[in-house]
Amino acid sequence: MTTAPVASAPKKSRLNRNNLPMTLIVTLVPVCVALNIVGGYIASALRLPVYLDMIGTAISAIVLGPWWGALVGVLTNAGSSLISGPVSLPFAIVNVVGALLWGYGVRSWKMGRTIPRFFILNIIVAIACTIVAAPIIVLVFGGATGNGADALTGTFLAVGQNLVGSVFSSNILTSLADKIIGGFVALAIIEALPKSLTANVDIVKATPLKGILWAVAGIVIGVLIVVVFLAITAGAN
Amino acid sequence: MSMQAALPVALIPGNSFIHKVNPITKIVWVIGYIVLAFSTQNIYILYGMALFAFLLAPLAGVTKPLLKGALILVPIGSSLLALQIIAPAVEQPWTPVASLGGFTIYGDGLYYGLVLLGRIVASLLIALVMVMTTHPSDLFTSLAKLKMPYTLNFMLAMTLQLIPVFQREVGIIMSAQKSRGMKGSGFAAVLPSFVPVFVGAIERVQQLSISLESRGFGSDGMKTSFRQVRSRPSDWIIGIVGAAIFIGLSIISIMKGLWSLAHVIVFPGTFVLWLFIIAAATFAGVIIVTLIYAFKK
Repeated sequence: MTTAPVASAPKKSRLNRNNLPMTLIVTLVPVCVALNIVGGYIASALRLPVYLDMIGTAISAIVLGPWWGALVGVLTNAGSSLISGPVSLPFAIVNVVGALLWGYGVRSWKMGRTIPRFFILNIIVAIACTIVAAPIIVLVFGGATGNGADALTGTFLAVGQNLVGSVFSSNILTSLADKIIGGFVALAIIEALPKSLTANVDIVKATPLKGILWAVAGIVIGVLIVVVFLAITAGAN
Repeated sequence: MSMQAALPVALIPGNSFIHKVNPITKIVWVIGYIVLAFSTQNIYILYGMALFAFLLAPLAGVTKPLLKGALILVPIGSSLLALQIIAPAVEQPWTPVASLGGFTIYGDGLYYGLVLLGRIVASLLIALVMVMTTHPSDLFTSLAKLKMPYTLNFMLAMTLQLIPVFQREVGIIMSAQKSRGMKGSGFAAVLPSFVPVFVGAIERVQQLSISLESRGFGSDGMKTSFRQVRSRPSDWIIGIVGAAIFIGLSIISIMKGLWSLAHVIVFPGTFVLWLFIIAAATFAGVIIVTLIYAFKK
């Protein structure tokens, strides 16, 4: 008599630290990756001056944990390279840094408890991402990103700032707007998720996106004034 | 607003010789290209590699989609050349050859800009040719043969399947929201468009998770695949010859201090100046056309 083959039971526990089944995480990760990629296209369809291509990273890092977010970041750039070539592959490290900061920031450092704390966390993410991205942009792409920010880089170069400083100055402006808005959009999405997914996450509810947008505009203008001043000072020296 | 054609299609079906090459051989070539491109500053090697990759396109019947995919190079390439000509990403001293307004034009900046552009062009063209001629299932079967964890393989494969699904969903949700009077652009449209797409997608995950559980995902035992990918002797030959060329040239290049020809190839000042003007004008043109198109739409 023969018996039908039966899949053996997995040796390890199916539940992880989040008390979520492993199969749920295995499916949630690619969904977040795909949403990262599609998010960028929604942003361009809505004619927004930001990328919004790290929302999936933020959601996974906050809901599942920083290292799952990092995996989402790596898979986002690996997936993009399978669609449009390996140009975006070096930026995987930027995605990883963002994921780790969002994940540890909300889950370990409790920076998601109030709106001001979460706002500061997004500013930290933006600065860290720029610190990591600027050398990649200079070494691999010679300072170019192919979007409007390059005109700003050229302007900073014209007033006498060096290439790394110019790329950093133009990138920090877009990064601040991108990460703060992206972080709060992620917050709104987390709020709307099933409670079974977000039960372990200590994060503030009710996203005041309109107020956030005004705050972003203020910060970007403030930083713009600072970087222009620094560029002119660097040029004068 | 249609989102259907926003992402480039990866596989272009065909029956060419390049379509039949084993995906592992193609991976060897792509990695070899990237390694060699970043080990050399010799523009003859870099643009030779780019030309070779481009010549593979007509053989595979993917010339038109390849050119479409390579359009991404126009803004980034023009911006890269313009920025490098005025601020080379190499150590000083730089050689000024002309000046224009507040900018000093550097000859070595053009050479280094061509090196950086050559690396991007060569890597992008070979990767696009390989991606456009490889069925994703064959690629993932091959990656599994290379002992890539099947969970990781599954995640990557599922991502590629989900992208067109979500694109379609974005189109449907945005049309539905617009019919309710939502603004079609700007920050006011961010939450009404992002939240339903993301939440809908993540809720779908629970169904997928149950589906995986019911199929024994995570169980032990040998995994099998419906699609079988076989290696032919020609695949081995192409792979070994490619690897030998790439490794050999990379070693020679590193031994020669990245084989830069910056001091051998000297561009005339007028040529560099005009190239800077053309590159800057092209980049400005692309940005202006994009803005006009976006606002007209």
